[in-house]
Amino acid sequence: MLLKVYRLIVQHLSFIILIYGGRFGVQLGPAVPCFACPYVNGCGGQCYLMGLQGYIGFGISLADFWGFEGLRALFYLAVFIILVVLLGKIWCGWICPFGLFQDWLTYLRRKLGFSSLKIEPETLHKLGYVKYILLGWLILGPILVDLKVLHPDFYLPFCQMFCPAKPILPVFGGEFRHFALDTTNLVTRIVTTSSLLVTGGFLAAMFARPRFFCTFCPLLAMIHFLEPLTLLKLKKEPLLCHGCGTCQRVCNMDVEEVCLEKEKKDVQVVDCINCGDCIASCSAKGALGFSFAGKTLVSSSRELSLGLKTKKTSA
Amino acid sequence: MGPLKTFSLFPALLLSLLFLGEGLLCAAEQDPYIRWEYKSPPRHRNGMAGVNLFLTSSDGAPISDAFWYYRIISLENFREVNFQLPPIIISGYFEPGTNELVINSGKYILVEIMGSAILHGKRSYAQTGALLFGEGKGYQLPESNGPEPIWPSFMLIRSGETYWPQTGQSFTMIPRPDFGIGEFAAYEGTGPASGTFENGPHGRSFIPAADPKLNAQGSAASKPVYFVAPLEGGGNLSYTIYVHRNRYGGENMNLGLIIFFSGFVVTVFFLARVFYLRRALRHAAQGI
Repeated sequence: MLLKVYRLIVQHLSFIILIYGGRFGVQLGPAVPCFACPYVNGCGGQCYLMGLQGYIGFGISLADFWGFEGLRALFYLAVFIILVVLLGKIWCGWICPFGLFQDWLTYLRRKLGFSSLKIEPETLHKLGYVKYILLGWLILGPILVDLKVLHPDFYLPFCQMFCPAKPILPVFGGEFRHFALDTTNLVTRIVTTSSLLVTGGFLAAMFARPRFFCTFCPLLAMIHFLEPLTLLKLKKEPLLCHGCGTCQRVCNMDVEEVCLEKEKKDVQVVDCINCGDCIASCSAKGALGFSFAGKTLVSSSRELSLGLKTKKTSA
Repeated sequence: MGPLKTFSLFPALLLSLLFLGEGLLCAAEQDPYIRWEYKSPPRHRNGMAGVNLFLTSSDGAPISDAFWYYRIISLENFREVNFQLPPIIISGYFEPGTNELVINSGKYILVEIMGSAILHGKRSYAQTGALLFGEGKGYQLPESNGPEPIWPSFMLIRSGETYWPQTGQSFTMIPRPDFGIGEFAAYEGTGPASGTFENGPHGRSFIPAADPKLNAQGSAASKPVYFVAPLEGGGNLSYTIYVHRNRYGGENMNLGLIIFFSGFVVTVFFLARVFYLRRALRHAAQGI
């Protein structure tokens, strides 16, 4: 419980910084590894996915890549990698503003008394491949625009067509215009229709199931590619595990590998967002925990799961 | 505070939204004038941004005795720097034979460019402005190398806070006093520009109409609109603006919300169906 409280505090602080930070002079740059949407007026940082499709990524034409623009793209790629290596999927579970928005919807659903939508593990596993398709699209789209295969209005193809954060998060900055259909030409009609349908659909699904969009998030896939390098990981001591299955039951992403793993200590799987709910709920002392560079930061205990302070911390 | 600094201030831009007046179709007769025309900017691999301009005449007649200067406002520290011939510039040159001007910048700057030449025996003036998004390191804006020449010119006030000049936006051209600058007309290609004129508290403004050709292209596509005013004693003054398509003009909120809620409702029904089916199957298995 205590871990959940800390997480809530960090999530809300991150939300304030990433959504409103620009209004107070905070600007974390364009390589933030979470959905810090640049469409929000006065945002305090920008999601790396947008830059990756645009001026610090695949939006650069090949002719311009061998120069300053290419160097700048490599610089921001390095910044992105360093941020992911340092914090791993803490970006998803603790910092992402759109993740917090999904958590709010889950809180609302629970308050209203609706039960969660359960999806079979096999179906969920198959749905998880969509994130790689979206990642491929956001890489291929700008290249096709540069090659003049696609109309220029397909620029930022993921943000413009599929990202539900693009219309939703600017609302917190007081801007509703991303809910409008752009009738300028046929391509803008297609692009905005797709965006609005996807957003409407995801809003309903995110209400019905916790962190539903995270299953499809291409940024989660990118962060997972860097998993071998990340310093912060979810660890399990299989010998200390009681096998009660609580970790799986409380998991918003329905990750079952953490519960089922009987040998390996590294249980960081692609869909795990490092929210720490499993650690907070596990009563087996030391069975689950976060480690940073091999050193345990926090581990499960009966006291932690009951929300009690340990003797050490209370002293 | 220099006039260009005023031009950059948002309040002035917002005030220009308050224009009142009636729209009139542009149908002025076109006298030959000199103007700045852009061509594709040079590619730079060191982070510099550039602009290539040609001083030309609207009727293709030769021009002579061309002069130019430009003035830079550094947007990074809001410092104003004036230039005139001979230019001490970051990187750039003017070819009198071709009347081509090249300006490159390693910094994020707003540059206002003035040109003057004799066309059909009368001295005329041309003006334009460009934003250069230079991002190179190690470039310093030089200090002014002299006072600004006293030439007839416009001060532009653009409505809204859009990234680019665009159709549907009002452009108020305020003539700098003491030059006898007449009422301006707007041209596009070889004829009058389509759009409406309005009279507001700051003066006469022009709103370029939406262009289907521009709308069909990407948002980076643009077309030149020339604002031309006669000068007392002959000659004229032009201001070149490259306008893009209207970024917000095509937005339809009602249709958008209908599509958004359609997506929402379809998903709700789909999820309800999944729940219902699952419960029905479970009940069937339990023999309820």
